[in-house]
Parts: sequence; structure tokens; C-alpha cells
Amino acid sequence: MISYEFFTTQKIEEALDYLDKFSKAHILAGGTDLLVNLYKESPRLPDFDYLLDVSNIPELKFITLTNGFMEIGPLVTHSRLIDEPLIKNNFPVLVIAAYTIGSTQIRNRGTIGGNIINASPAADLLPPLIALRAEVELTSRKDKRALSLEKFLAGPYKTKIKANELLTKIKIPLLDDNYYTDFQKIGRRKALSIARLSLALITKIDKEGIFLDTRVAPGSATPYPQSLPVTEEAINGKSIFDIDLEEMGKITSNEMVSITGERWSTPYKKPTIAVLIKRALEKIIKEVKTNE
Amino acid sequence: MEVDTATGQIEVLKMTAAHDVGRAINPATLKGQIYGGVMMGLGYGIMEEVEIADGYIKNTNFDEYLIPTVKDMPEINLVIVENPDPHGPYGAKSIGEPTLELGAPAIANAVAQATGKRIRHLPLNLERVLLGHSLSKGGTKK
Repeated sequence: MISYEFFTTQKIEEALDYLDKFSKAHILAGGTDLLVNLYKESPRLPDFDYLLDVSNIPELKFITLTNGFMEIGPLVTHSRLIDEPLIKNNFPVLVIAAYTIGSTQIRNRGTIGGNIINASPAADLLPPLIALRAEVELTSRKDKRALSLEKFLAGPYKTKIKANELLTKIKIPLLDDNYYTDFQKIGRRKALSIARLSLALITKIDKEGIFLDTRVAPGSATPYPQSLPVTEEAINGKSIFDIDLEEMGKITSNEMVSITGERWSTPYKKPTIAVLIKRALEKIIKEVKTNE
Repeated sequence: MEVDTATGQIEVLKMTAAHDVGRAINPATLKGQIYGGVMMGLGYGIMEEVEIADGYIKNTNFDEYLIPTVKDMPEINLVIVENPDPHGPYGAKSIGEPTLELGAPAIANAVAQATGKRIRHLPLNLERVLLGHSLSKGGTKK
């Protein structure tokens, strides 16, 4: 039995005061990971004496478009990401990924901020957010700092958030019309399924059909989600008319294994991640050719 | 069925279940029985697995012990064959267990037909369909 004192608030200021005063406080947003861990008394839970419920803070539920950036409040639910026209029009890859999360009930409660802070190796929003070069804003009572999401993630289920900090914003730079995106996911069933393997691909295609600024981020492939710079560089500069998809698949597999080493799951994941990158590239190439 | 031979994913598109029930005393509950059995058969064939380590069951919650969701279920086509049994009550025969026994072997046959490889162990999860054997943290399973 895990025992704790429960606080709730409707104001960011008050939440930050609590966090400042009580260092052993755990934050509750949508609860879709936390409540399961509490029920299971998971060893993954840190030692905490206080549970701070931030889910009633309206100031953390915004989606706004300002100066070339999409700014998303951490309490925006997966369902809202799917329904929000601003997200649908600018980042369809985020909508596709959000739609693969859990079930309707989980998507109605689970939040983008929770998905980031829980930092699961299989988190469905992390590959697309990393590929979108998302930034997180962390606020404490006296300070505010911004970090790239990729740098913010520190390990499986670990981030660089400090005990007195609250995630207050996710900021994503907009993509121009020459960018193409895709998200692929393999699960053990069609809903309520933790990703066995996933992959987000974002790339810019210039007028000559050359790949530029490619970003590749797999999920459930590495100890925690991160981009694959070797693969990205290998794709950059290739042409949509003669890119060697087999070769790109091999490079992706090898880069994944260079990060993870040979693990028990490698015999499955090594050939399969090659398939995912090939399919994502094929889909984008087809889309570019239809647009012309 | 559709088998993604590159990733091991299986999609069952339609299942037909034909049963000699003797006499359908209450066709509505009979259909319910068959639908339920077909669903269990699909789970048995593709995803349900009790994992044991040192005599203890590892997956004791439904987040790890997977059963089919509504999205995994295909269209089910029922064929009720009435062939009264003189020894059964009003001619009826049993129709509980038989409904779930046939789904998994039918799925396994379809996978063998699609991939050319026969898999002798259930469930037909991603690893078995792609590699021919399952994987687990402790090492390779059959």
C-alpha cells in the first residue's frame, strides 16, 4: 500500500508553490500511467509523500499558433490533439501517432505532457515530437528554462526535470509546405497496445526531389526515444527517384543495434525497423510524386 | 486473413463458424455463444499467452495478458446446422467448448498457407510469424 497526501489546485502559481515547498511530490496529470503504477505498486514509481493533481489547471490546456511556432499546453489530451484543426493542418504526424494510443477512454484522459514526463521507451508521441524538434518549457517558482525534448529525455522513464519544476509548454517549430511526414507503428493488437516498434519520419523534399533535413526517430527501439543521426545523414542528399531503400533499411537497423547492442528482442526488431523506414520513405515518395 | 510477411502482423478479415447443434432451442443465445467462442479462439490463436517464470505467472493483469479488442474482431459468419440428436434434450447437442476450439487451428492453417512455413506453437505472435519462434527476455522460446 502506497500512502501519500493529496493536493489539487487550479493555478500554476499555487502548483509551483507546492513543488517548492514539498520536494517529494509526484505530479498527477491524466493519470493513465500513474494510476496503473500506483495500483501495481510499480518499482518504477519514485519515492514520494505528496501527490499534486495539476489536471484542473485551465492555463495548461492551450493550443496556440504564434510566430512560426505551435505552442501546446501539457494538459492537452491525446483526443484533443486528434480533433484540433490547428494540429491536424500543421502536424498530421502527431495526429496519426496520438490516434494509436490506448483506447478512446485513455486518449480522453492521457495528456501530451504526461506522455513526455513518463518518458516510456514506447511512448507514442515521443518519436514524432523528437522528429518535429519540439522544445519543452520548464517553470519553477523563480526560474523558467527551455530545453530541446531530445536533450530533456535522460533515460528510460527518466527526464531532466527538477523536483521544483513543472512542464508548462511544448513548443514546436512549424514546417513549410516542402516537408513530408509519416508515422509507422507495430503493436500486438489493434487497440490498447504498447508499441512493439514505431518510427517517425520527417523530411523536406526540394524541387529536384532531393531529401533534406531528414529526421528519423524510432520508438521501442532504443532504451529511450532518440533520433538516428547516421540514418538521417544517409537519407539527406539522396533523390526520391533513385534512393536505395534496402540500403537505408540496413543503415537504420545497424544504427539501432549500435545503440542497443544485441538484445533478446534484436532478432525481431533488426529486420522490422528496416521495414518501417522503407515503408515510411515509400509512402512519402509516393505522396511527393502524386503532388507533382 | 492477411499476413504481413515483413513484420509478422496478422489481420483476420473474416471468420466463418459452422456448427452442428442438434436443435437450436434458443437461436439468439446460441449465436451469442458462437460469437464469444470465435472471439476466444482468435485470442488463443494470435495473442493470449500465460507466461510463467519459476512457477509464477508473470502476466497477472490485462495490460500484459492480451485479449482481442473490438477492433481486432472480424466479421463473423455463422452457419447453424440442425441435425437433431435423439439422445439430447429436444434434440440439442452441446455448443460451448466446440465454438472456441476451431479458430486457432484455422488461423494457423491460413498463416501456413500465406507464409509457406508451419508454426507449431501458439499464440502466433509477431516473432513467431516472422522468425518461426518466439523471443523472451530469458532467451529463445519455441
